[in-house]
Amino acid sequence: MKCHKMITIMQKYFIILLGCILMQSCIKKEDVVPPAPDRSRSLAVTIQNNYTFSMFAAALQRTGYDKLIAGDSLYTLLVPNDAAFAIAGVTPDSLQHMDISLLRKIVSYHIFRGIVKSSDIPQTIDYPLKSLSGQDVFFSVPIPGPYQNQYPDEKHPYLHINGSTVIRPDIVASNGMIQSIDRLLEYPAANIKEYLETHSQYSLYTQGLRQFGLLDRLAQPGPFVVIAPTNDAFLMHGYDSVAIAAMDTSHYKKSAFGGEILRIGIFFHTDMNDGPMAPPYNQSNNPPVYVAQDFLVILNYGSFGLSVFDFLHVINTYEPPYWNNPYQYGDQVSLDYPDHLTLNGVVHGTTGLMAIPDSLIIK
Amino acid sequence: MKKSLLYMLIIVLAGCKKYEEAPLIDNPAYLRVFNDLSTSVDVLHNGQSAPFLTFIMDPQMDKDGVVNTGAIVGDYLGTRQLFSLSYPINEANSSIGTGQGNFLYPINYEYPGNAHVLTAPAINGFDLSAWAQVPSGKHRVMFINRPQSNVPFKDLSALIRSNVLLDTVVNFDKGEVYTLEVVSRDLDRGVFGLYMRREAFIHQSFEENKIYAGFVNLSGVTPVTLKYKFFDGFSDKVGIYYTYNIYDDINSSPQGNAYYNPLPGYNKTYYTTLKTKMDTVVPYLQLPLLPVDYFFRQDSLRTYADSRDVALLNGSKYGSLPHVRFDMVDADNVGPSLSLTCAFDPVAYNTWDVNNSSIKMLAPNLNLIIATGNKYKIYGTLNIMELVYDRVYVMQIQRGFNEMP
Repeated sequence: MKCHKMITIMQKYFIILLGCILMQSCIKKEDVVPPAPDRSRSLAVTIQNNYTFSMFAAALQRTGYDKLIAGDSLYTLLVPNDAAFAIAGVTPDSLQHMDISLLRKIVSYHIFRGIVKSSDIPQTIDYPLKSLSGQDVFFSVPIPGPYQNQYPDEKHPYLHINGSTVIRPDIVASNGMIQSIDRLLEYPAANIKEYLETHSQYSLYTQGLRQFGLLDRLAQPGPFVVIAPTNDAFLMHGYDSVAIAAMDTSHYKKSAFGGEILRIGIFFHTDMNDGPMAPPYNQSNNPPVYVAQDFLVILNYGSFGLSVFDFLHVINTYEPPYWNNPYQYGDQVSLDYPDHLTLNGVVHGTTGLMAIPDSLIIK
Repeated sequence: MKKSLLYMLIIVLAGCKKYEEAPLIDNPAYLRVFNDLSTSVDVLHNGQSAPFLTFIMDPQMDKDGVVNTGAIVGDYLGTRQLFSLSYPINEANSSIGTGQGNFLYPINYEYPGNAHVLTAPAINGFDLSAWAQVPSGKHRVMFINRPQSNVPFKDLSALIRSNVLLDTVVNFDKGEVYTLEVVSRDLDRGVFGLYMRREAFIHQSFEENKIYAGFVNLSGVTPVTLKYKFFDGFSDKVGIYYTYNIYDDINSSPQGNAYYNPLPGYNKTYYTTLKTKMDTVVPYLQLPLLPVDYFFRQDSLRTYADSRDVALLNGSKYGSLPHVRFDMVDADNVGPSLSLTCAFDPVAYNTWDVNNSSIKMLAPNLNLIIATGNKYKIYGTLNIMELVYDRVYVMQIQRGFNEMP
């Protein structure tokens, strides 16, 4: 009897244990429901209510685009904050007195039809999307790779637009999306020739291009990248307009004024980090050199320089004056006034002179 | 007692789930896909996305007409590793969470790779489990640029999914083995293409005691930077010479220099000149499989090239195992050669960063050494060397073993 009772107790314990084991495999977790985004505010209301967007709100109001974005159609806006307007030299007063057609072009250049999320952009540099104005705006996303030093995450910006940086991505509204940027995008000029002629700080460079017969080419379809030296760069090396006018073009190599013109796709200064390159001395099949018929440009961590074709020999030869410095024709320059987009290319201004004309005299 | 057994059985069966087997394919062909693109996008080469692709066979479109899935989807297809075998070399590795910094994303170095698909059987004595079974006949094949992220292809935006790199139709014959590779046809202009090779080694006969090496030049148009020698790469016509090096025990020392004596008759011997690119017929060079004594030094197995020597770019030390060195010269011009010294350990080879080390000039030893307990056996291998601009992709075809090693 006692034995039978023991067995029954054992069985009970066994069943309880079995039940515990079987239930171990079941854990019911509550689903975590993410908070629904507040989609009740339209783009117009979102911008009006954000004090850092006050300048852009005033621009929308003046051009009448605030009514466009208050409706039901979906739009994406690239909204420069007030600091961006200040950097561009636009004050509330000058905004009210700006030419209305120019302001309409600038504002419509910041508006896109449809929703463009930051994760929708392909992982490349300078991906074009057409804005409401009809012109392309270029989006760049950092590309992971062996030389990539930017490690973006959700808190840090990782979208670059025409050289500006998105500081607050993906602000959701009921009828669209806002990407907040740190620069006011320039409406692209008609061509590089027109840009250089209308900006007086490049007058000496423009004079030299005209004299060497290279200026008209910059009105043709490109794309070109021009690293244009400012007047200060020329004056620092002793060239003023009289000295340039006195140059006999037949005695100079073409790269005296053409060395700053690169016939490659456009790029902005942020693309140098988004799509980084191997260093020049690293033997990989993507060396950062631009080879034209008459000259060679080396890209070195964001600086540009004109060099001889066997520059690897030069930098590895331990003899003055060129040891480790292959830039025999001028300075190594950086992009000091970058990202001036035109319809046939981009102009980057620099305070250095990549090609000092007297070093390019044909001997 | 019987009830206890019943309860035990319930516990045991609770852990069993019956998985459905994949349906067999009628008249299959066998497919392997590589991404050979070795350069990324930068300011001098923009307009094309980074070489991270999705491979889709027989695509299906979404309601907007953009491809979002297909009969076969080989997602996260990164640039191939320098060394691959005829069975998936990364089978035991997880493909989740590779990358660097905050960029953690899956990478598959080939299709099928780790994918759970039906694979090719052993054919002609070769283990071909890196080739997937696919239905024979005509198929539409697409390669789409995708971002290096952990978002599956079908969840990417339509804008990204419409970034098609290649879109073509291929025809697979029943029972044949095909290797598809995405190649760059012109680095300067951003032109890309698909190279398809029907493998002939399943129809050829090979001797057990030989090593075979076949070469094919899959470089595109010579880029301007290579024309002016800004990097070391393969020219349009590549002359190939080979040397079989034997370690000089007497004159070498582990702390000092290493010296090698070539095997008689195998000292910078001319093999062939590759005059054309993208050949689909690969002839093989035969090299001897040396007697076992060459691989041992007083009963200890000799060594592969030391990792430290690769890191220090120490060009003279390649370990003490017999190894083959291939010198590839520009057949049209006198100049230095690119060499490929096949002296490295195949186990560690792919862990080296091709961009930041001299691993490009090395390859795994062509003698396959299999260890079981204390016994080693040496086997010959069949190797296909694909020359792409400045590096050699080695595919080693593993023989099945007739006897236990």
